[in-house]
Amino acid sequence: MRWIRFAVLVGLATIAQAGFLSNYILKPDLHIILLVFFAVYSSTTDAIITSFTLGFAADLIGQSMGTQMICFGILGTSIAYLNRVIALRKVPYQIIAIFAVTLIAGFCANTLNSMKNVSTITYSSIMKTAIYSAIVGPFIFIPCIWWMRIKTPHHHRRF
Amino acid sequence: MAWTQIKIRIIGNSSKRAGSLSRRMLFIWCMLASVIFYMIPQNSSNKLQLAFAHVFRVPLSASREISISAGAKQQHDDTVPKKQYDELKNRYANLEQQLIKQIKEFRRLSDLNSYVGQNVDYILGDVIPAAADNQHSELTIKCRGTTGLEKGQFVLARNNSIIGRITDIFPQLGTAKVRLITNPDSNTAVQIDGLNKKLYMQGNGDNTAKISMVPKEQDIRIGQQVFALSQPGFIDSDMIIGTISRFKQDDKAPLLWDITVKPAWELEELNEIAVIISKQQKK
Repeated sequence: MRWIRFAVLVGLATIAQAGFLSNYILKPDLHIILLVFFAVYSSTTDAIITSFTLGFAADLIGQSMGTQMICFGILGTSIAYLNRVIALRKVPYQIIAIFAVTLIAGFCANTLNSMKNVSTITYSSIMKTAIYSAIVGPFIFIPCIWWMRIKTPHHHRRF
Repeated sequence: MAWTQIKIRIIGNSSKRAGSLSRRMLFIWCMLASVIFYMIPQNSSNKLQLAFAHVFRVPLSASREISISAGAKQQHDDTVPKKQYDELKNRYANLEQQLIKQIKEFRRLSDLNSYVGQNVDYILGDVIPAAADNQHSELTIKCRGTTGLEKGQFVLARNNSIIGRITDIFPQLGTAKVRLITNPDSNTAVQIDGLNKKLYMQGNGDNTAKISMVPKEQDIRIGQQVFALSQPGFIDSDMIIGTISRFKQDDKAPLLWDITVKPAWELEELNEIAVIISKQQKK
């Protein structure tokens, strides 16, 4: 795992999410896309670290500290373990994973925020973000694979 | 070939056990850190968020500006521009004030109904402050509507005491002139509490009124209440008009009392009034 490259990527994603994308209502959740990306393309140990780190980054620009970190940590670890059983290398699986993780993370974060008496976001906006993230996610994976220098296995056609 | 070798190494028994153990500990420690962050009070965690925003303020603002300059800012469906928001906010504040005023009027009418009786109606109004004429003991009132207003009708103060009678109505302006009981031209039939005798009270023009023709043998005390007598078509029952503030022997007629009455209201404090309209008058 190239941790410096990972830090740069997380930093850029956080700035883009809080800056560039903040002017949009309909926007993807870059942190969740990266969460699924690292859960799929890195080792389980790395996936755990990246999940919590991405959760921390999401909390820095979110409603309160800790909520996203908990949700991302649990979901990222779960995806990483799931990836050991069912390889999520195919785009449709990745779309489903991003969609499900965004929904679950959104609902869990809302629940944790409401327990802390912090303002929550509407469920309709969580759904919109989930759909948008699921569509955009696989396209963001491509530059991420290049940036993280991840070697994907070559599929050879067998005759 | 290389891929197969990596797979074999991961699945290897000893490394799997060691790896899973460390992963579990890693997860627990990370989770613990998350819970600690979650448990931190909101004020403290906000500082961390603000610190991030402060440190990265330049790239954050640049990033925001890029999207704005690209014309990518979307119009929120459920929001309005600031100018319209301010306008709506002011309109809401005005409506709220109107509602409060109407609730007050409703309560006042309920109070009046329970106080005077069911055979009368009321028109609520406000005193036009600049029109209050202390010298001539007259004031102008602005009513919600002038339909039903007639000359001679009694006007009540906020404290349910008689302040005077209507002398002029200006339907175009929605106003009416009230001659106060302290006006020298005013002559009101009254009764002193405890005296079973119809008397007449005349204004002095100095914010007091006087009652004459009270024989000296009558027991008069300072503070005794004076009531306007009921008049069919105007008021159904006696209503308080003031209290005796002073009494002395009449200079012109030594066998009579010269009684000064202080109104039950203060001219400066008159702002809300109610005109009593008898239901007989309405018919």
